Amino acid sequence: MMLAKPTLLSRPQVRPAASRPRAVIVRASGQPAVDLNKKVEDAVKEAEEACAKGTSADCAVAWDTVEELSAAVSHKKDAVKSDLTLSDPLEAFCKDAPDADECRVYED
Amino acid sequence: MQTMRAPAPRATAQSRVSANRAARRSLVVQAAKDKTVVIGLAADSGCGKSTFMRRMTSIFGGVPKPPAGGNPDSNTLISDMTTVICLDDYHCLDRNGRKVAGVTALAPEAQNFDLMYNQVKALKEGKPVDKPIYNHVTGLLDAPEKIESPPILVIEGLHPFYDKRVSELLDFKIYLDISDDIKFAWKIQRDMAERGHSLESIKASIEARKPDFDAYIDPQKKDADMIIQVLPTQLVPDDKGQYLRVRLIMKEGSKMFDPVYLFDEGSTISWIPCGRKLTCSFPGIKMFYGPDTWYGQEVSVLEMDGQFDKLEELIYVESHLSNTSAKFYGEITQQMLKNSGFPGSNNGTGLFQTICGLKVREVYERILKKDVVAA
Repeated sequence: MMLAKPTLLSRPQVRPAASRPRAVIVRASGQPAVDLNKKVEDAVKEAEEACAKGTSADCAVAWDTVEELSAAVSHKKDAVKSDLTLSDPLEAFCKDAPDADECRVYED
Repeated sequence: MQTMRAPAPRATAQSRVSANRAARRSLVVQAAKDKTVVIGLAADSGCGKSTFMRRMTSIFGGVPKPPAGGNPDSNTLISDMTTVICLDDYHCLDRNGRKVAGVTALAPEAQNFDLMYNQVKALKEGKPVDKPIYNHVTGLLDAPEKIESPPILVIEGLHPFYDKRVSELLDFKIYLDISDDIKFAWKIQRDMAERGHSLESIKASIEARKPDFDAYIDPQKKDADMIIQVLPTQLVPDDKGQYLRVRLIMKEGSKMFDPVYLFDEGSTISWIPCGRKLTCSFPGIKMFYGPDTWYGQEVSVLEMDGQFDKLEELIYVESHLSNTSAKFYGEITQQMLKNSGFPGSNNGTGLFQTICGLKVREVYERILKKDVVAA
């Protein structure tokens, strides 16, 4: 008697995990970072060439492109770092399944 | 994470009518008091504009997000109170266009100031605009996005005060002035860690962009209301840019805000907070406050050199500052603690950025109050 009761209580009243089909969402975040890094490397190479034989204006424009791409890469990285649903696996899971046991939060 | 929500009550004809009426009523109220306050932030790329933006928007609450469902490479950030627009969106030449014309993104020839003026003016007057998007990844100008007029509009980028017409629309102007040594150190941190950048390439990049920077970007700082200047420390020899001397330069005599002061307004004070009441680790903290001139204009300067390791140190410093525009004792410290993961949270950059954010809030409140009194 005393044993049966806690097991009953520990069961959640609503069991959405079992009763509801859960959609799997595949996101393509973080993919372009690889592409961007390559782009930055190419831009650096191009800029070094432009400075070696081009005019000083060409040189400045080429380095400006490098700067723009580097800034874009670091902004992307910051965005991933500051977005908990991308950097924290539990937060990412809870975004798609807010009513799972480990995700439920009641305000009071 | 999500909280459980009660099911929405079914709308009856009665409630729909009253909801309609309520919506109409609130719309009128909003139209009467809605006034967009426009803030400008100028800085070179890689100087902490985005950190500043995150600190500033955090003061107004809510998390700024890119416009929902739009271009994934949009530069705009929208929260309940603020909309942040990146002025790169007003490039009139895309990356290839600049290459052909032989101009950098710093040059005024690469910006469409007419469009910038028209759209900022429209947003200030409460009208929505279709703003182009400059895609930093592809270097192309993408299809425009719709921007609604927000309570606070922030325009950030290289040229917010370059064009006189745009500059006159701004209610508050902030400039981030990073000295060459520190810029170099920060770019090493940003670029050298994982990309194909050598020391030489970072040096070359700064050198190549410098003539345009000095000609078009740097002169804007003399028009700013507040300048955050970041210099190498004077406490210890440091060539890595690890410790910073940060100066907050505030214009005197503005109707919109009052400068912060340390102990006594208008005096010149040098203060080392470390001692019997406060233990600091190496190299400690040194504060300075005093009057100065900035391109022939009267300013007050507040300076912090060094860095703090513990929160007690910041609350101790904060309790000796006056006119910070904080609403309660400890608000600056609390704000800094909320964003403790951001770069600069343990030195003067974070402190002065937070103070700037509080000043922006005060500017907004003063403009709104004046408007209500006038009406």
